[in-house]
Amino acid sequence: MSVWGAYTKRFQRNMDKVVPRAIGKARLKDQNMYALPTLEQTHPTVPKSEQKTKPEQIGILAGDLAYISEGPQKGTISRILRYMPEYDGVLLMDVTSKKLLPKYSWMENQTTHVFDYPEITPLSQIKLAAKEKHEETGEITYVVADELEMKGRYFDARHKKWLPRRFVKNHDRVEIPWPAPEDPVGDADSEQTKLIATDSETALETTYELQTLAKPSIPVDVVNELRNPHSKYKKRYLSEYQARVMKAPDMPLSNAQKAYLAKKAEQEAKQQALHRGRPITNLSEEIQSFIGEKMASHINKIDNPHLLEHLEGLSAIEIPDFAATQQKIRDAESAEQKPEQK
Amino acid sequence: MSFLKSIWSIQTRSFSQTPSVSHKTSKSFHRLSKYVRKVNDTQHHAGEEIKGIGKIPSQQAELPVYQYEARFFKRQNRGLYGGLQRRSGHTCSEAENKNKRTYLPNIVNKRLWSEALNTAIKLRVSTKVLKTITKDGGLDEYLTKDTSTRIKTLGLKGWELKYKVLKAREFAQLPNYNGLKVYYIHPDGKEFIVEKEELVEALYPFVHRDSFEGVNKDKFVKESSVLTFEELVNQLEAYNFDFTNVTVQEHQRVASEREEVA
Repeated sequence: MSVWGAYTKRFQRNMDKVVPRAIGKARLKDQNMYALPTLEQTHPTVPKSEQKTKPEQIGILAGDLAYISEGPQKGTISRILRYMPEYDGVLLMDVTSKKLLPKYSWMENQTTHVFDYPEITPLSQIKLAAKEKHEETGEITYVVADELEMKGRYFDARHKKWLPRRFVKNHDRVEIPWPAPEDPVGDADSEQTKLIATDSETALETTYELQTLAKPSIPVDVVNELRNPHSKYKKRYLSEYQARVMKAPDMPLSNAQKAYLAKKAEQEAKQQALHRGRPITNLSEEIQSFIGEKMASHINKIDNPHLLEHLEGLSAIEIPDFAATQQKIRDAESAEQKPEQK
Repeated sequence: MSFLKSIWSIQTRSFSQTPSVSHKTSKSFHRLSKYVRKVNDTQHHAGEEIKGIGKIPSQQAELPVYQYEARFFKRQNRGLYGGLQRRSGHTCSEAENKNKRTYLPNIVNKRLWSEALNTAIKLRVSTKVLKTITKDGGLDEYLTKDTSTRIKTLGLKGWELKYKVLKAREFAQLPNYNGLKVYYIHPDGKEFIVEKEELVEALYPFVHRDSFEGVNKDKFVKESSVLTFEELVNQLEAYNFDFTNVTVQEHQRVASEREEVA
């Protein structure tokens, strides 16, 4: 359940707690406030959750005969035109009342404001009736079922669906069959079906066949015409503004932090200056001879001819970094010599 | 000595603007760092894929991100509580029956003078923080101290005030020539006597003229609000903008110096 569903107001009636029938009556009052005279509604609407939709729930269908057991028309047997689930009532052929219709809602060929309008008869005020013809005498009698009982199921070919069998309660031999539908469903021969139906040949005709999944079924260029590539909901990459907006400002540095940074930068600069000032030059002859002596003394100690051979091989390898450094040294020396010459 | 201490704190804090959440702090404030929500400080760039980034705010945040915003006893975000929270204890009757009770920190309403902002600020302050402010030598000094404990115990309100104070100090350091307040000094030495908004106004006609379709002014002003002063000046320089009306001129500088001498 959503949060909003659980939300109630302190000074407002909680409609969830009101009985649905009470809402129906209140709504009826509201609806009749602006209704035309003689066209007021008298029956409250049934909430959708309580409406009956299946024939076995209702017990009757359009085309059945009904015996009116209450009201001014009591005792008459009439044909049911329509069941109205929202009022839980039926429209009967003989139960009508004179209504005054405004001109804009006149039917075709209507010449007067007065119109015989079918009245809703609640389901509780009618009983199912059935006509019975005596086999020998041909005399017509009516059976009125006080209560109904549904038993078993059979497939009704006229309605094209499964329906229960209808019996008068406590009289298992008296079955009242369901009436034939006014407009036979799926009857290919009926006039109405012919009007609205598509030919079976047309319906089954294949006009397009997918040849391959590798190719799109429509040209690629059409995709952009069908979809909006510029939709703001399809923006997939951050703009410069968006990227910047997402960054909160930085806290400015305090005096102590600035002082520390300045000191550190100064130290680093000093270090770098020291390093940078150190000249890259060739080693002096004294140092060179010293290193040479050291190396010679080390090498002379080696007895193993294989190791000596290995060291010989190592010294033959040209190291690119070493060559580059040598080049730098040469450049530095030549640069020093040039001002001297001038 | 205090200066040395602050230097020491900086060194241990590795100088990041957003201190790490797991940093050690005084034991009595452990709850402050224990229950903080981890702030997402990912840096985004233009052209990045939007998918997975989350909601993009319509405006830039006014404050720097505060790592230690309290999620409990939230009144501490609205004043200077110095890390004090509700504590629990017992009431004890004569028969020594103990019942649970809480103790709230001693909070008072105060007007504290800020030297940098040049105003008195109405605040809810704990008496403990009042003592610390006196010891540090004023509200501004209290707010701008850089120890990790101070940052954690400042609270959201303190963090906001700290930002304002540091900004005001930065602004105060910029020169003032005989009533002409400098807002920004460009690396090439130009001293700007107008605010950023006026440079945006000045830039608009150039950009509008440059564009084939034209530029919506409101949109331009909104999107330029995130540019820095330096970027705006650079853009104007590219259009050969005449800066004489928006920068301090030599004669104005000389006149103000003369007046100072007099």
